[in-house]
Amino acid sequence: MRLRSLSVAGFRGFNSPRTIEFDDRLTVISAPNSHGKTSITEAFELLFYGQTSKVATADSRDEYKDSYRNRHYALEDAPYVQACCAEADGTEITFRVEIHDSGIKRFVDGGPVDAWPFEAELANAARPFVVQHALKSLLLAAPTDRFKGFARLLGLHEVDMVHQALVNLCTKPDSHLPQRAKKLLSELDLFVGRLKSIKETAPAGKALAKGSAGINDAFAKLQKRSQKLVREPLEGEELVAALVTLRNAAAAKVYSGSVKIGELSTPDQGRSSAAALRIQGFAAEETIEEYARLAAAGATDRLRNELTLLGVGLKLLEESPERCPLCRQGLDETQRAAMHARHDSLVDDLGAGPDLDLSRTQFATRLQHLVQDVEAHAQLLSSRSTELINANTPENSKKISGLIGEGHEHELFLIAAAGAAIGPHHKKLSEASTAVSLAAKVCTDAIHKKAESVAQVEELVRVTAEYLSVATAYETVVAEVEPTLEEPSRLLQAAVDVQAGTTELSLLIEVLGSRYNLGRATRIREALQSLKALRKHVDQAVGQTMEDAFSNKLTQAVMGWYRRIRTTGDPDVHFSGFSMERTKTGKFKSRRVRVAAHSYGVELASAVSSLSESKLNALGLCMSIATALGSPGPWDFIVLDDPIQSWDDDHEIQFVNVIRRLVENENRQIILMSHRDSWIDQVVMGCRSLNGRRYHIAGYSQDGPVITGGAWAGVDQRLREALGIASDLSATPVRLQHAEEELRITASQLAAEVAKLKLARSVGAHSLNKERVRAILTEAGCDAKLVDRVVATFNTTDDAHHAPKGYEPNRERIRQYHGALCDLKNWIRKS
Amino acid sequence: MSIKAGDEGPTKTLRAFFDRVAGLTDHPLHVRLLKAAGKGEPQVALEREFKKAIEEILDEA
Repeated sequence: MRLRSLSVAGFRGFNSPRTIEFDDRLTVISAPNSHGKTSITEAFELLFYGQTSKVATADSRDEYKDSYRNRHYALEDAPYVQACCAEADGTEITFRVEIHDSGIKRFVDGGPVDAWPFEAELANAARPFVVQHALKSLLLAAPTDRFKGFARLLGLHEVDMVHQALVNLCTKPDSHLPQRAKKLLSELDLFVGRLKSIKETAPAGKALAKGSAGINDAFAKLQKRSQKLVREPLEGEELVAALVTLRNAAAAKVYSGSVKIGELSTPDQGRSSAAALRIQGFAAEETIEEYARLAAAGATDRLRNELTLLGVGLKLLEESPERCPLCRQGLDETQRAAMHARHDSLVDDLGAGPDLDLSRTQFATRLQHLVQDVEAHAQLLSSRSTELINANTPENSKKISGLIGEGHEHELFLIAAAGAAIGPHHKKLSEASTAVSLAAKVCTDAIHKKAESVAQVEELVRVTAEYLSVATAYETVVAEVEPTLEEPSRLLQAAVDVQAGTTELSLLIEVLGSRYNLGRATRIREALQSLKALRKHVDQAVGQTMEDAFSNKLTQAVMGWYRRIRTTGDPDVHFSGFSMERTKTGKFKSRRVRVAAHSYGVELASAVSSLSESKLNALGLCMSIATALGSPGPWDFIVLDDPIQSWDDDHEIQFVNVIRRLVENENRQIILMSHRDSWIDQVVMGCRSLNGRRYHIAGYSQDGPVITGGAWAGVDQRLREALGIASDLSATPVRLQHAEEELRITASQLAAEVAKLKLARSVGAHSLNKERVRAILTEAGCDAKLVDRVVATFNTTDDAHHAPKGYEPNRERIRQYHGALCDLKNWIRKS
Repeated sequence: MSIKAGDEGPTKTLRAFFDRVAGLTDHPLHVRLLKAAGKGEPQVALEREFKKAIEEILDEA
């Protein structure tokens, strides 16, 4: 895509709307410093990339906050940047960004879009902007910033981002570890240290330190040592149990017990959770309803008994119908009929009905299970704090105080505080459990007596719910105090072990009981260590990717452009290539780009430290140009923002040739800006035949830059040149075409002058075509024949570089055009 | 110029880079992290995947 025009309002140095139209090949803009040149480049950056490179590379984003909006721009309006671009087939597309408080809004041909249609292409394409501060970020920057700058320049921005993210993770993985992983690693380190500190267990400690590779060896060694101590060839839990017995026997002489919160074994944890769930299930409304059904069913018991009695009686009546089978009194027909009727009525009312005895048995079993669950649950929970409660009896507190010794008052306080916190909950747990047992017994007794009442089960459900609440409160307090007891517990055990000579036994018990955790810890440690290897791999891969990009024509291309800028008078101290820095062993150093230079055949330490500022500037320019040309992207244009800073005259002239080459050989549209008007004159002269567009920023006010258009060449100069070409018998067809183009431009320039002088109308020569030239001249009163002769200059083609089929250069025709334009010029002067 | 939204997943350049790293390591964690890094914002995706991998080790039976 090429740029057709840029419109800016309220952005950076631009306040009131300004529009600049661009030539398809070369547009030059001259302006003194601080007159808005860089704002033009930044407008392009903001438009296509959503951010200016100055902000992107800023040390402090705060300093640039809200810096896009021009402070004089009306607050109610949204600043905007809009560019009209043309595809290769001439299709025009308008891209626009508006700056709102909520962020940047994008539009394509007036319709809002979330992202540019070419967004994917931009991610890996070099930016087509050559700006001074970008050059500094590439060459005169800290190594990591330079790497980033090069990555961006080479279209490897994404790779850089991923690399940076990987480096961050691999360098500081600990900060992303879950808390329990950190705890496991800390335990592993502690065990390794303790094992190494005892001569007999030191080999196991060294093996454990090797991670997964050594853990089996470590445990084999520990098992062997443990078997030796217990003098039995036991394994697994039996071995640990034997060690515990041995240790406790010895430690009991000093102090039997601990102050730590006990941990439930995995099976016990499962039992506890399952019991809690069942208890929860019991303490529900359904339980009351079920029991209420039993109670209600109890009321029909008497009727069932009556039915049974009547059933037996009626059977006996069949044998002796005249007498009652129970009291032997006489019965008449009416009385017998009444007995049958009552029996049938009861059968209808009661039917088969539920088996009440079975329901009662089932509910009684449930009550029995509830009591078992609550007692087991309470026992499991309270077992965790039994040791702590015991430790807080006056006698044991005194013993512990003596063992831990002076200087550990804080730990003693923690033990007491934990005991004081847990004690009441421990007691409540027991009481709540008992309350459930008692209430359950009341219900069970009632069932046995077939005298259920809803109030009984309501009470049971209430105390069961209360038990659950007490259990939850207990667990909360336990979880709170548990971490505070770790250090006091360790101190007490160490003191007991020292006095009882059981240090090794205690350690063996702990380590053998922690195999599962240690296995996980070693795997986590290995995962962390593997990140160091990953870091090395990604460093090498990034280094290779960058070197490939360097060697993939970049170095040669940069060198090619660099040679075009350097002059024969330059001292032989020059840039000689890019590479990634390497270690002595040939590995890539992480994120270090080397810019090589040589001096009279000798390699220098670095181009950055050896080249002059002007050469570094030239090098930076060449890098930007080479990457913009070599990188696939949507753009056919390059914006050169004040490229000649710190150069001498010779280099400035050399660079004019570079600009021409970019347009003619590389087919790029160039937007060139410079603070030096005289150099822009040289560019125009050097690129005379390109017939580009020229602007000059003549002034600057609160309203923004004052931009004026200027002629690429004067009318007389063009007429002279065209005639010269027509008279040159050796002129090639291309030169002759160029002469025709010059005359067409001259016709437009003269018509624009007529509009200004005779019609008091300002018309841009670039906007004129055959019809508009005719209209202006006719309106200004020019002779019709002269008008016909002048507009005939447009007959052959509108574009001398793309002549129509059948076009043939014709010297005579050029002379005729020349004559017509001279006559028009004379007519203007005379009138 | 292609008038279409950006592709999902890593771009060609990024894929080439991942392939290059994959040629240097077949460590399961490395492979997993690289895969994650190609999706979304790399820093966030990597940290999330690393944490997930560690949680899995912690929760292993």
